[in-house]
Amino acid sequence: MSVRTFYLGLLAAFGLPWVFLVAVPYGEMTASDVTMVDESIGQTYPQTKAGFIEYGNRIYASEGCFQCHSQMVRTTDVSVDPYRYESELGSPVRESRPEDYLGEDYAFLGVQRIGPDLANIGITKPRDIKKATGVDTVDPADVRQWHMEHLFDPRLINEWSNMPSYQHLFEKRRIQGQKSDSALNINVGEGYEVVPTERAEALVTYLMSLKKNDPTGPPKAEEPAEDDEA
Amino acid sequence: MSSSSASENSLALLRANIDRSVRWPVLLFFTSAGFWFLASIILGMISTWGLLSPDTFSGCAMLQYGRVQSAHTTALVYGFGFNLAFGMILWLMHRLCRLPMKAPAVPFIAGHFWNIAISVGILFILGGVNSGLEWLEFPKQVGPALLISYIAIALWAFVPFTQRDQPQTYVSLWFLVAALFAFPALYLPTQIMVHIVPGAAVMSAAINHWYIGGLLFLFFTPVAVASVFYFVPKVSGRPLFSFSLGVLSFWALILLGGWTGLQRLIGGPLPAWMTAISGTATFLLIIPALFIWINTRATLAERSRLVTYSATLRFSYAASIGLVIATVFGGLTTFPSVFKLTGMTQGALSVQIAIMLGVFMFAGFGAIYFIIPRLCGCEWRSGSAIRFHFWFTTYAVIMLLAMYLVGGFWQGDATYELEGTWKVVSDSVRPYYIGRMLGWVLLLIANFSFVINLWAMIFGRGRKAGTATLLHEVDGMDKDLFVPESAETSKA
Repeated sequence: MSVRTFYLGLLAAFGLPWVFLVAVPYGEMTASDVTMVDESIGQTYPQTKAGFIEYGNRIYASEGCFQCHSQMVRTTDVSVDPYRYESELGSPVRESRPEDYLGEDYAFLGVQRIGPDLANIGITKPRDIKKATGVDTVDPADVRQWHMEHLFDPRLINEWSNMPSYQHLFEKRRIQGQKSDSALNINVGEGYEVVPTERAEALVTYLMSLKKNDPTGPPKAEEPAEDDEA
Repeated sequence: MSSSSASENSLALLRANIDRSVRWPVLLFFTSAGFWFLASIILGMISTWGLLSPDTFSGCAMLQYGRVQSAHTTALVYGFGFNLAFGMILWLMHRLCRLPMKAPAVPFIAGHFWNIAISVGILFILGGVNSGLEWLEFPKQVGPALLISYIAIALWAFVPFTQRDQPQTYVSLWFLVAALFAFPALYLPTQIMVHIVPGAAVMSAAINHWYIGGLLFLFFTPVAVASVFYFVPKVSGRPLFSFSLGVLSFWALILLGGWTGLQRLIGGPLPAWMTAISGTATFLLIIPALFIWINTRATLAERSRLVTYSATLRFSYAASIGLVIATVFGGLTTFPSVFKLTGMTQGALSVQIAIMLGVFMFAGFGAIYFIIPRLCGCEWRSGSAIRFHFWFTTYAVIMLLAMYLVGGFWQGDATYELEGTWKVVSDSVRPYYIGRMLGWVLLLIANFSFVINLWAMIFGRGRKAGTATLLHEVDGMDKDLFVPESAETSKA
């Protein structure tokens, strides 16, 4: 083998996968416009995310949440992901699509599932609380409180959980005057309260926003052909 | 003096010159690899313990699972993996090209920068700055420092390839040069397309997985194979069984390796053809792995009993077997029927463990056992210490692989239990965390003793005898195996 053949081979070995597996899909996915407008309610999909949610997204990465939690509902030929959601929600959620992650820097598809999938925790958690309390409408403040307590000490909610406690995202402080509105409903000693830091607030806001079930256009294969419409 | 013995002497002199010239950079990389390996194992133990007893470190943010696990993998890949690879590549390239290293201070200084960059990166990860990309968790500012250090080291390894004056290029050189180009060819596009000009978020995740697959099969595996193809003929005193099979396995590995990685996202939000191609390429990697093992086994042929005595040969041969096992694992986990159970579980990570520990680590130790005596001027102190290192490491890796894969099956199986809470999944995998813990402990014990032996050699506390340290006393029946051309015995 000549050195010239070797270098050409290397170029093919590194270049071809990069072109076909990376560059072409990168270009196509980045350029595709999947914006949809539901005119009946005046809602545009995918919904724009607030800056504070973006901050929460960064906390999610910093704390390494992606090491244990995925954010994708896989197809039914290789998983029961949609049915797991069905058992929680009463109706299955659809499989995840690229447009579900628009507006995010990086799709946290996950490394493995030591904990449950979080792709739709923004829908499932209120539903859980609704089922547990029997109320008709769930107050977002209750959902927020649940997440805060769960982050502070997961064993308070599920004694079997092996999720770490994120106590460093909270501040334990002496109550001065009235108890803070944002204080957690947990007992940490007489005269003391636990309040979330801005990082905890951002992370919980981000978690509450997670919903990868927005209406989207049909997959290309299902689009009706022009002849049929005619 | 005959002309053949004169040329032997001049070759021995040249080898001694080469060893002297590469001494400091190679020692830096091997000792750094030893340090990072122990650090990575300890971080792996902390992260596994965190899964078993999550409240143990509840007061300490930097020891929470998410951060420690990221620190563990980056220490393993960039600390242990790259440092060991740099040491192997620099020594092998100069030996194969028969050229002493010029200005060894450059890779020596670049190596310090590399280690400073990853230390800073890991401290940032533990401190709560994490990019969120698997194997690329370092804050993005660390990227340029890594790349510049790498280029300096790689240039110094590449220069002898361009200046060599050999009629034929040995097959190990193809693997080494390919590996040298692989890292920038993977890292640079990943950094640009994920951090500098990010595209669709899903594509960033896909690029991340492509990068991991590429690093495993285009960087770590080629370096391991180059080492096996160099040391097995060298120590056994027999030429490589088939040069053509070696070249064939090279092209099969290199042409397939770049397509791997995305198979872990089968069923995910990517076009199905992308994950299908990756799955197929991963499965086909069994072919070059088999070629490499056959070539290694056939090279040993009737001298295979030498594996009993030579540390280098034993570790190198184990690496070639490990490669077959790793690619079978990789192939198996891409089958839809298996992926249904192992997808998004720790089972999918077993391939990474198999390549990094079962293949690359074994090949690296094989190289270290050969190279260090030549750099330090003394021999390993005891064969029993090397046997201890080999067996404890082997048991640890088997234990870890079994725990990752079997635990992954049960973890995946439990997700099919649709009624009830996540407790079912947590409980199903818990016994395998205990097994993983045991695996890390075994690996720590084995390699703590290895690192002590390594430092003893560096301080000149090895045996002063002129013959290599063998793992066993030579059995009477095996005496004819130790012919003069066997490199370990002649100390070439």
